[in-house]
This record gives sequence, C-alpha cells and structure tokens, in this order.
Amino acid sequence: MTQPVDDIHAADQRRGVRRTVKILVAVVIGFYLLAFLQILLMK
Amino acid sequence: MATAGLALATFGGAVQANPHPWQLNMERGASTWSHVPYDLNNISLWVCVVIGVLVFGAMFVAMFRFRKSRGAVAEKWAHNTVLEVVWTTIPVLILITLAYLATGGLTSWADTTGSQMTVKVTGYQWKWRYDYVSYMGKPIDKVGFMSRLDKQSDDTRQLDSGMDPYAVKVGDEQTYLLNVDKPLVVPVDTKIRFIITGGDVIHSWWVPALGWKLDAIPGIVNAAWTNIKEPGTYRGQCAELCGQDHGFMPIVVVAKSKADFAKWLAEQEAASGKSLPPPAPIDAGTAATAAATTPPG
Amino acid sequence: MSYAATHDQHDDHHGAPKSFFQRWCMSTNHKDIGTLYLIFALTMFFIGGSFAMTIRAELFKPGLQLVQPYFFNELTTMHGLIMIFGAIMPAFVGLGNWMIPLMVGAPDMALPRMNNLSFWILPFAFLLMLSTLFSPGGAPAGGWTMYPPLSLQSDSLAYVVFAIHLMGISSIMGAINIIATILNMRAPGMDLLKMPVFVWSWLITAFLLIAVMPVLAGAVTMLLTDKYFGTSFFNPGGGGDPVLYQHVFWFFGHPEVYIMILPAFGIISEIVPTFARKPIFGYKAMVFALACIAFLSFIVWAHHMFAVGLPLGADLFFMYATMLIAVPTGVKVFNWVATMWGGSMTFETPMLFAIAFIILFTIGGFSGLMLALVPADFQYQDTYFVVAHFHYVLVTGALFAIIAAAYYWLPKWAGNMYSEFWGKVHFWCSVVFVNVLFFPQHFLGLAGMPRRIPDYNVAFANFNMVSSIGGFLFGASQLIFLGVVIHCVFFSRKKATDRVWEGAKGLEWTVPSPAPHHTFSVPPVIHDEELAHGNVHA
Repeated sequence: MTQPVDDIHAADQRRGVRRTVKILVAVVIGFYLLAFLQILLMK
Repeated sequence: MATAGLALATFGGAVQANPHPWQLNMERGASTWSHVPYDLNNISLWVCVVIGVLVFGAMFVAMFRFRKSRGAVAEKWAHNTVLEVVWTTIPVLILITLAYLATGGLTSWADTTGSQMTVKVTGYQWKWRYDYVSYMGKPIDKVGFMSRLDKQSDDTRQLDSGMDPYAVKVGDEQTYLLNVDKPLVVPVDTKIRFIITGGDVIHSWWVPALGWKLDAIPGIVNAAWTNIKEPGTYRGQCAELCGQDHGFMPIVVVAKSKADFAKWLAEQEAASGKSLPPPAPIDAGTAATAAATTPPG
Repeated sequence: MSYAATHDQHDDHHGAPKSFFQRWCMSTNHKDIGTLYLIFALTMFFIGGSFAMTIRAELFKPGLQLVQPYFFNELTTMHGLIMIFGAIMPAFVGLGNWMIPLMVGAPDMALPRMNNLSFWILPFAFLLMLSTLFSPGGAPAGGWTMYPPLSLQSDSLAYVVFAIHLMGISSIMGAINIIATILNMRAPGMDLLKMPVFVWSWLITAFLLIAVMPVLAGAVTMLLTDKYFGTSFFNPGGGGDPVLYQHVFWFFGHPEVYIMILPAFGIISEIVPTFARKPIFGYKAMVFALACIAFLSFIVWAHHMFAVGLPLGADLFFMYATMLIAVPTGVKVFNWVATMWGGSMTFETPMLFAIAFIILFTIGGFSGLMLALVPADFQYQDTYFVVAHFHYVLVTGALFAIIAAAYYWLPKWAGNMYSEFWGKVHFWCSVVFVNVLFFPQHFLGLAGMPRRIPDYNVAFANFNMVSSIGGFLFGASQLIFLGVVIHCVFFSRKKATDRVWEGAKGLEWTVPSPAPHHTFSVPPVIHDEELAHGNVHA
C-alpha cells in the first residue's frame, strides 16, 4: 500500500531542499570567508 | 668524566625510575610532585576498573540470561526515568571527585615561584641544549652545553648496523637510545625552575621520573619546576615529533647531592675559562637564600 | 511490505544502466554511490593498513631493520591521514548514502548529481596525497596533525594541502546533501523523533562537518602561505605563533573525532535492538546524548594541547569540559546495556561486533577519561598510552561499527546471505588480535615510550613484539572480511529474505533484497509499529 502520489508534497520537498541547501551553502561560504578573513587580518 | 659520574650515579641511585622490561604501570617518580600524576593515574584506573566491572558484568549477565536460545522472550519496556537519572548523576559525582583531585595537583604544578635554581632548556633538531642560568640566587656564567645521543647508541641505531641494542650498557643498565654524551646535572632537594624553548621546531622535554613533559616551542618560553628527592640518573626522551631523528634525542638528568653538585658546577665554571669565585658552597648558599631554602640534609 | 505494491509498478522499468562507465562513473543513484564509497574506503583501509604493518614490522624489535627514520615518519603520517580521511570517513558516508534514503523513505538523496561529484573528488584527492610517496622529497613526515614549523620543512606540503582541500570540499558537499535529505525528503509520517538513531547521528555529524571542515581548510591554507608566500602566521621569526596552528587545528580536530564516532553510535543503536528484539532503551536520551556530545566537542579542543604550556585557567576549563563528555557517553553505553537487558538475544556476526564495540569502545573511553586529567596527561601525552587510547576508539570503535554495519546490511545490499561461519571466524580473530595489538601499548606508554619513534630502548622490546604479532594477525584477519564480502556478493547462493533479520524493524527492511535500483519512488505509508523507533514515548 502506497500513498497516492501527491504533487503538493513533491513540490514542498523540492522547495525545502532548495531552502536547506541555500542556508547551508551560505553558512559554509561564510565560514570559509571568515577563515580567510582571519588569514588576511592576521597577516 | 660525564660517563663516570653517570655510572656512579646509576649505582648509587636507589630509585627505580627508568623503564624496565614488562613494566605495566607508571612509576611513582623521583620528585616531590611526581606522585601527583602517579596517584591520579592509579585512582582513575581503579575507578574505571570498578565501573567497567559493573557495566560489563551487567552486560554479560544480560547476554547469558536473555538469550533467545534459553527461551527468553523480549520485554516491551524501553524507558525507566529513575534509572536514567541515577546513571547520569553517579558519573557526575565521580567526575567531580576526580576533577577536584586533579585541580589540586595541577595548581601545585603551575606554581613555579620560590625556585632556587634556573636551567634553560632548548630543543634543537636533534639534541638538547642546557644553560645554567642561576643557582641559589646567583647568576651562573657560561655554563651551558649540548646534550646528544651517546656514540654507542648512535652507532647501533643505524639501519642494518648489525650491532646489538642489548649490548648498549652503562654498568648493568641497558641504555640503548636513553643515554647522552653529556647529561644535565642538577642538585637534589632544590626547587629547580626549567625554562623551556625550541630552537627550530617544536620538541617536548620529558623525563618520566619528574612527572611531566612540556613542549619546547620556538618563540615561546615555557616554565615548569621540579624538586628531585634522591640522587640518581633519570632518563627521558623528546616527546613531540620533531623530524627524522625524533626518536634519537634522549634526555638524561643526573641528580647529585648539593655538595657534589657545587663541586661539579665549580669544575664547569673553571672549564669555561671564567675564573669566578667558586660557586656558593652549600652553607653560603643556604645563608644567602635562607628564606627559601630547606637546610641540606 | 508497504513497498511491495510499488515494486512491480515502477522500478523494473528503469533498472541500473547497462554500461559499466555509465553505471559507476556517471551514477546519481544513492545506492551505487554508496557502494563506491564503501569500496573506496575498503581500498584505503588496506593501503593504510599496509603502512601500519610496515610500522609494526619496524617496531618488532629494537634497532632499525627495515626503514630509515624519515620514511618511518612518512609512514605514520600517511597511515593517519589515509585511515582518517580515506577509510573511516568515506565508509560512514557510504553507509549514510546507502541507508539514509532507505531509512527515511526517500527515493534518493536530495542532490544526486552533487552526490556523484562528492565521491569522484575523493579518488583524485587521495591519488594526489599518495603520489607524494614517490616524489623526490618524500611524503609529508610531520604527523597527520601537520604541526608547524616541522610540517613546513616538508617538500610535499602543497600536495597534502590541496588533497585536504579537495577532501574537505567533498565532505562539505556530502554533509549538505545528507542534511537536505534528512530534513526534506522524509516520507510523510516519518517524524524527526521517529527516525532511526543512525539517521539522527548522521544529521548531527553532518552539522559538525559543515562547521569544522572550513576551519581545517583555513589552517592548512595558512601553512601553505607560510611556506610559499612569505607569511608568518606560525613562524615566530616573523611574529607568528606555532601554538596558534594547534588551536585552529584542534578546533577542527576534536569535532572530527566525533565525526568518526557519532555515526558508529548510530549503527550500534540500530543493531543492538534488532538482535535483542527489544526497542532501544531511552530513544530520546540517545538522541539528546548525541547532540550533547556534538556540542561539547567544540569546547574541548585544547585537551590535545595540555603539554604546550597553556595558562592554568585554560588547562582547568578544558579538563572540566572534557570530563563532562563522559556523562552523555556513559548514558549511551548504559542505554545499550539496558536495551539488551530483558531482550531475547541472538548473536549473529553484526551483534558480535556491536557487543565488542560497546566493551572495547568503553575501554577507550576509560583511557580517555584518564587522559582528561591534566596532571596525569602530562605523563600520558604523546606516549603509546595515547596511541592505545585512540586506536581503541577508532579501530575497535569506529572500524568495528563499520564492520558490524557491513555485516548487518550486506544481505540487503547484495541480496545474498554472507557466510555466518566465516563471519564469526573473522569476528573472533579480529577481537582477539586487536587486543593483543593495542592493549600492550597502554603498558608501553605508561612505562615511558613516546609515540612516533622508529626505535626504542630494549626495556620496551617485549610488549612491542607482542603488539606487532597482534598487529600482523589482526591485519591478516581483515583478509577474511574481504573474502566474506566477495563470497557474499558474487558466490553466495543463500538468498536473503526482505527482512533479513528476525528482529529487524524499519523501512529499509520493507524493500526487497537486494534493494532494487530505485526504491520509494512513491513515499511509503508509515506504520509506527513497523519502525524501529515508531512508538517513542520517552
């Protein structure tokens, strides 16, 4: 027994993935920038 | 000369402080502080053994009693608040006790004040340098030397040397890789402050009998102290990876009675070409720093 | 069960691509990529293991017989780097790739193409790193921690730095993928607090990865600029500070330690309930303990540096924080034991490895507690006691959990049962010899043998020989594992059932064995009683 294919659910999932990835990528880039900023500041 | 003194000290030293075959535990050490890590080691070991026996015991009981092959039927519970609170609280209490003990020991280690002698230790690839800075409140001039792996060990340790590491001996002590050409000589019953730094890369100055190691870091001067109780020869090694010969830069500390040390220091100073007045004999030294010194025994 | 209906409707239409290159090199399928990760990890495990065998052979007796001291240092360095970044971490990523979508009822990872990229970066990163062994200057020889100024003396620093950058990018992409999958791709009804503990452990681990891999990248980049671009971050001659590197490195390094053990906790938390036929004890406490350990891992880094001469206050803070980790870790161990208590246990190979994990990891935890006590650590630091400690937590901890997971899920992956007899032979050989290998190293450390030395005083000879013999036999035992896996995948004729294990619960056991190329194209209906942790009330 499966759940009926639910377009709203699928769309929600795609949106959710996009949002999560955006946030995480921002965090990682932020961390990298912070690390390299630290490098520049300390030089 | 150094070797002779070393051999003498080895025979004279009553304390067993150097590694021996099949050794299972840490040694108590030879300084006034070295019992601290030893005691902590033993206490925490026994705490762990007791907890281990209880936990593993319970596990083995469970593995025996609740086997399917014995007809055990799985129960349904998966939670017990009382139990969970208990086994969260008890470890906290044990940890607080251990932390209390460790804090006391650490605080006494960190206190380098009131020292009667200062030695500067510098780590190089792959040898140690010792410079005597002051003794009994008096600065010492130009007593300093390099201390390297002894020749016999060095020859033996070459790849495919064909020489037997068991044949490297001082007296009947097997000193392969634990002997140097010129040891650090210090007096007993003296609070000695070591200032430790590195000349090229990071090394770590470690004599197990003194109870601690401290990194020798270029650009940083670290300080630690020891107060050796009994004359003897105490061996150690560099404890921080420092390149290809990291395993071949041992440390040897020879502790002498105060009188012998004063004599040794005088010889060193004479040899260094400075005709200073002979270093403070024990009585004078004691008088000079009466407040901080315990009378020589 | 819930899956069976969809199976016929959807998945037989488009199976795996036929061409080898298309299937494995261009794969976006979480199962194939998971398999690639696992094969890669196994390969690296044997390469890193061969370094370890050479190390143990040189240490077999006093005197240098086989290698020059510098090459010995290359071996210890490469052994550490390969095992940590090449074997343990990719193995967990592989397990996560395979099992997380199956466990949460997702058709695949959230970002399948990125998944492919995350994997295919790795072989190149490690080729770069291993190639240094054949370069004129030799491989890096400053230890896997790469402390300056020593690491700056190496001619192959740049290779390793770039390899680490590549590997870090791979890990970060993998971690983003896993978080996105877990947070968004769960089947409706698979609430966060009904997820398998393994999925929880990976969710938390992925956050740790994202937080610390950039820090490692920063640290090694500073090494690179110090060596090649005239900066002086760590060079005291230019106003720098070698200890700064250690702070930055261990800010990465300690969470890294938990990156290598939290998924292991997750695996054990799945295996023990299956073979005890009883739900995990204290599910929420288990998840909370994972989170606590992850948090604490960020504030304990300097316990790797007690011998650098920290201020008294710092020593005390890091000692207390480190000791605190014993509490959530203890909770986990107690809960595993309580899960067994009142169960109905059988002892198949995965369960045997899980039980060995609990006991031996706990022993590693005990020595960890001893190491946390600063004055005692002044003696232990950089000795074989530390070597014994971290091999207990990484070999009998992380590695045993990976092996347990491999036995546990192999029938699901391959569709065949492995040979239980040879699995048990592998277990008993491993568990005996690993202790012969590492337990005497405690004694060596306590007697005063420093780590990372190629030769030693004759007083250390006896236990080194014992340890080396254990090492050779433990290494050889792992060939049995290789044999069992190859036999299971290609030759075993005993078909696995869908459920595989009598007590197994969770979505991954509702799909056929072997798991078809595509699963859960349509979200499954979640029945709480079919989940391993479906009815959590506390």
